[in-house]
Amino acid sequence: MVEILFWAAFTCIVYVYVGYPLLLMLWRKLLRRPVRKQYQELSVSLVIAMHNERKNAQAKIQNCFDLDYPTDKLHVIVSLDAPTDGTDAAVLKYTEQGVDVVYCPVRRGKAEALNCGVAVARGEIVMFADAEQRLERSAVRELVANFADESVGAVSGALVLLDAQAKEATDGVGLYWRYEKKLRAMESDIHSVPGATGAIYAIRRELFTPLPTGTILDDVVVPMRIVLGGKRAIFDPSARAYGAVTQSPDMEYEKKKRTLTGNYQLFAEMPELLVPWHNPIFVQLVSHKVGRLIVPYCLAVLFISNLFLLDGLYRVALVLQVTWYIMACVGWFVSQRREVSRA
Amino acid sequence: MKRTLLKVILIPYIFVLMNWAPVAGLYYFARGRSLGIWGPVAVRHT
Repeated sequence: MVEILFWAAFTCIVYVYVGYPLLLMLWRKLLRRPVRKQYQELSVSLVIAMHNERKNAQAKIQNCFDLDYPTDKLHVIVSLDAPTDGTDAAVLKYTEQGVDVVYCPVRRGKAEALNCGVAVARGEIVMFADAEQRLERSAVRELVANFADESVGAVSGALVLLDAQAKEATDGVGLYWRYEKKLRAMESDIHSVPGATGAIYAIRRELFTPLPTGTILDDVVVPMRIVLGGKRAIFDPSARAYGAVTQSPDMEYEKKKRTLTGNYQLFAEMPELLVPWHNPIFVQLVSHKVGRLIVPYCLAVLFISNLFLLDGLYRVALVLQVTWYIMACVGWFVSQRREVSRA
Repeated sequence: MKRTLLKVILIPYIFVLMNWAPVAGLYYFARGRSLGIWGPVAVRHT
């Protein structure tokens, strides 16, 4: 029994991190569905939800003005969610330059701010972006080109994380994000990605339905609704947004915790995602999203079961596991020292 | 060299930390539901 638990946990962990990417590679080779991308100039409403973003607001709006897209086709909407730091004053001065500002005096959360922003959108395409990241000049053009394919309902761009030298980050978090983008590219080639990047994604406006108040992961709920509705949600790495990589693992942990809380919320609010005959990307969703949720418990089972299995190969496995966790403790100690010296 | 070593040392820690996040996420989700915090506070960092 203990052996079964050990191997089940081991198989699950290996599948999530190695087996699933290999499955995607094979799947893509056999059943690739390329997107018929064609450059066009559909009208676009770019919705940016902001709360307290005074330090980013002006740069973000300027970034929108600098985009390589006809100004008469690009409608910028800033949806303010009860800011208290002067973001409203920073944004309101751009109304004369065509920026629409939607102001909510009572704090209702990002999802509600997006709902308010989309309510005034007029474009055929609605694009979403965050205040913090900068869009590449060609980002809108690249995203919109994908909508020439009628089967595409949503397009996610790629977030490129930059380090202090303004190069693509290659440390732990940067590497993880690159691995994530590779997975998304393969999932997109097969059918759809189970989630977009909040910093840059776009949808056909008629496919938007208001988000429930308190939705944590709008960038997963919106594309998944579109996928359930029969359209594709694809990933286009040529549409890029740039952001700074988090300074420490602890900061990344906080972001990750919020994302994963959002995943639990997602499955509670949209149980149909876990029904294979309702969800055309059931395998991808379970392997990618659900897999990440259950790996920690598999790691615990792997370790505890290994304590009862001490012969031959199992002894080696236990030594490796103990060494790994000791190294993790050393890493924690080093990370804390860095935090102290940074402070 | 020192920077590369630092990166390597941090890999197991980051792995464990990122795998702790789903456990913490489940706790927050369960607590959040019962306390009804799916309002603005819950999306503070979005």
